[in-house]
Amino acid sequence: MSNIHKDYIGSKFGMWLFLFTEILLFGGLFILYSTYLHKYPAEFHLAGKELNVYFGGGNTVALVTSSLFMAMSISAIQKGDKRLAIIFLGITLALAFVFLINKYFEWGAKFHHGIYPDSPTLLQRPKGEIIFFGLYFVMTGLHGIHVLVGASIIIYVLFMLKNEKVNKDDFVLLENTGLYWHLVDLIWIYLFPLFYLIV
Amino acid sequence: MPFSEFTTTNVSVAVIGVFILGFSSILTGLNFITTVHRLKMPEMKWTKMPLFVWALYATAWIQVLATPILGITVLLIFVERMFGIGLFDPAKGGDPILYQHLFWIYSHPAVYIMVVPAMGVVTEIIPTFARKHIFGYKAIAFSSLAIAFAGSLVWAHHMYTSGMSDTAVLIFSFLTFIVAIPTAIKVFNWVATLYKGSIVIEPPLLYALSFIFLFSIGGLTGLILGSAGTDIHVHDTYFVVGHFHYTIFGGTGFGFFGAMHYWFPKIYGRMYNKKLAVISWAILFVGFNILYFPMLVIGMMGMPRRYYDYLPQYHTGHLISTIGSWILATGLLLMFYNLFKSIKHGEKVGKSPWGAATLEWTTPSPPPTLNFVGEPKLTRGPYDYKGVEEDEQYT
Repeated sequence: MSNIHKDYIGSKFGMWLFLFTEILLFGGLFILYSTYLHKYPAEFHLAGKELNVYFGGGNTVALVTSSLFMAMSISAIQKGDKRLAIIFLGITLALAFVFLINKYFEWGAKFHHGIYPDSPTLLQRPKGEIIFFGLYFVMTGLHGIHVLVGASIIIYVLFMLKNEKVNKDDFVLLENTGLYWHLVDLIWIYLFPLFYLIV
Repeated sequence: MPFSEFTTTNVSVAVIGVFILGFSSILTGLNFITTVHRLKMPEMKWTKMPLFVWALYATAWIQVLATPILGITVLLIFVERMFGIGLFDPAKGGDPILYQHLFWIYSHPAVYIMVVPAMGVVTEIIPTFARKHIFGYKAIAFSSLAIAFAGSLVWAHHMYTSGMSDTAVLIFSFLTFIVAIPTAIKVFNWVATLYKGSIVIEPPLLYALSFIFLFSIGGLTGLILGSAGTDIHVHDTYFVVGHFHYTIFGGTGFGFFGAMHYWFPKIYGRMYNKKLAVISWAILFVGFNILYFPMLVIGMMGMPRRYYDYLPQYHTGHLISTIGSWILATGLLLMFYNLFKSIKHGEKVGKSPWGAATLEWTTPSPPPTLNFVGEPKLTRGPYDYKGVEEDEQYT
């Protein structure tokens, strides 16, 4: 019997379970969102109009495109093209930073107008708007942390690609990173309409 | 301001600790599920697995599905306290009842995370010492999954007096009764397994039998709390405290002690002093009931929980309870003394001192690195005792 055990399916199985738990983590916030939307539909509508659809839309394009490059990076390593895999993954990383920088300006503009949690300006607003912006900062903030974590993992995998620890025959680490990245993307795809479009 | 927003204590550090522990809980569950699916020996079909593994499998699903909600809840406590967002603060438009919901969505299933593995332990011990095939294998396996599923849908039975709608109270009360069904299925199957078996009384069996007795009291008092009407009478009283300890201590605790006595010789290759084990079990069992039964009584009389002081009519109950706690502590000390001493000084035993039929008893005690000497072979079902040879002697 050997104590070296590599189980490709097992790794992905575990990763998918982990992704379920991530969805459930955000699920708690989605429950709060739906309850408060039901309670304060008019305030949510007014507050939602204050968000900049172009900022949000731009970020959506950045993330979806980054997911495409992530998938292409996996295809490249499957074909054994290390150089191309690194380039595609590097573009994924760059787009992650585009997203975060964009977010920085978006939040910064809100702060500039005095809209941040517990701010005097915000507390003078109707309750539903306080809650809307509260959820906005918490949900996009938690998502932003996920982008940051994802970007850190991508940097790690870039080094693993370079050292050929991730290669044509053993690329499950890259594939799982891709799964995580697509999840980060997916959650944003739900956050974007909830805050910028449908209310 | 509700406690979900503000207390005078430093909760923020504590919730970070809970969040990190939550990760370990999730990753454990994830690991167990993946392991059961991927590392079962190929010839071991799902219906050939030991029922303890089934119980752990069901538990692992609860861990994976419920713990993230705890994660987000404690994260929200943290950001609320740091940034004052107001999601649970009525002054800022928030609703504290939503916090209670989020809290209990995890925290009720959490008690099943504690007790379902103990049920699995009892399911292993009983057929071994009754020398009889487990009664209702599939019913027990699926009841674990049913508890995991239904137990995740009953959380608001902790909130009947929170001010949520009567419709919600009615639905959660109904669902709470549903969970009692798979639990009772297990109890009946254990008793049916014992029926007409060749019962050998050994310390693990005593713990398993006390599990059935104590957990049944815990479960049935749970139904009194689960009914919306009677709950109003005993809500936040010692009755709840008594119920909780009968389920979690009488259930999880005794199941855990049973497991320690059952697998001890496998883990260390030595046997504890069986006579002392029986004595400490008896003290523990008696002390347990003297400690917790009066709580059910004074709870019914109206003794509220979470107060160190009380009216004179509750004095006798508290007195008996306190004496019981001393007896219980004596039993615990004696039990742990016996076990710890036997790790090094117990009599050496062979690989299968109980004559159990599951695979772990075919490997030497303590098991070698990688658990088995060579690939294990599956020659029998987990409860198929025909031809099993006891191996008490150390060779």
